[in-house]
Amino acid sequence: MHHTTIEQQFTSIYEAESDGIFRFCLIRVSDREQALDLTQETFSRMWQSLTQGKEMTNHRAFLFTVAHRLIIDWYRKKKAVSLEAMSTDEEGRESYDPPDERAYDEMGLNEEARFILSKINELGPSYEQAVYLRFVEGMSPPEIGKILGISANAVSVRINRGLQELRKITGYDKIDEDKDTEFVKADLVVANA
Amino acid sequence: MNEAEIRNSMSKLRDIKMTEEEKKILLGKIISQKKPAFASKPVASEYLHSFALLMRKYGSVFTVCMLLVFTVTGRGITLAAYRALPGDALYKIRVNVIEPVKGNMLSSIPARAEYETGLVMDRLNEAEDLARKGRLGRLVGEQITALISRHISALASTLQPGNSQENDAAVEAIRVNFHKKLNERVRLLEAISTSTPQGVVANDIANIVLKRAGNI
Repeated sequence: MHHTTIEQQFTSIYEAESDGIFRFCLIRVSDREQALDLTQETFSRMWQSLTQGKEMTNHRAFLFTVAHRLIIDWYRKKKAVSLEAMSTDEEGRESYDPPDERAYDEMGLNEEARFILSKINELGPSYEQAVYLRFVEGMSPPEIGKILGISANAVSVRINRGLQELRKITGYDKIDEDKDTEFVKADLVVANA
Repeated sequence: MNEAEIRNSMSKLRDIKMTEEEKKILLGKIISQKKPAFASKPVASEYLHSFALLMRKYGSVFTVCMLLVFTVTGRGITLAAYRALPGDALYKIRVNVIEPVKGNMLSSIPARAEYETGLVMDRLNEAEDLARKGRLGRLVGEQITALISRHISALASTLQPGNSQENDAAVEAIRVNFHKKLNERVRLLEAISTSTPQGVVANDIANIVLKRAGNI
């Protein structure tokens, strides 16, 4: 493919996805400069893949997968300095530090958004990322499955359980049975597609 | 907080964005990395490219000229290698490439036996020449002896009863011819060994060759 075409393709992907990747990084590392570095590195990897002519079926999944791995690497390096920087859940999966007040200020969030973000972070690593990617980034269960390295069905289960948990911890635990059933069915259809 | 509010609150997280300036700077940094990324791709040989271009430009004339150049050069190297002696640069081409290739092209048993006999005589001739020129050192002597042993082994396997389809009389004639030629050469080598300072090496070659030839 011609260089100019690759550059145009890359620029259009960058315009569409850069904010999502930056947001994904910033919420997890709670440091704007660090999030910018991680975003740059993520897109650099994509740029290199495109210029080397590598096949890429889903740009979005590729970018979030790379960002996810870079964040994990960043925490592992940080862990060498501070052992408390990264926690692991009962299954050994790695989680992130919740953002502090300074980080919230850097994100420019209102009270409502801060509240929901703090509650998402309380979900724990099993549900947190699935819920975030589904409801904030609007990704499908198969896409999330590719990023987290699990099946689409497992993603759907995590999303639904995560959402139930979120309802509880936000004080909304009176589930509208009809809506909930419709939601679960819709995600399972997507997961099995 | 109801479910709609939860979803609405989550959607507000999408307000977290880079500034336009940050976006521009980041994009510039990433795009400027294109040179090392492209440089890491394999680069086609310029020589092949220019050769192909010349062929396209001058067509059959260029091809014929190049073939002539290659033939003449190759023929020149082959001829020079034929005259090479142990220790010369082209000698290895002669004994490791030209002679084995030529030998493999012979199909009949007598032709191969004759050829291998000739190679043994050639090696003995080379030893004589080197001894006369005062170049028959210990290492060169060992090289010649090793080659002669190789040729004699090849000759022995060629003349093996199961291998040869010739009648016994024909095989015997080849053997007699080999020993006759060998004796002549060895006698010459022994004569040279008494008259040159490197006679010890020449004498050693003669003795080893006679010993090895006993198997034929």
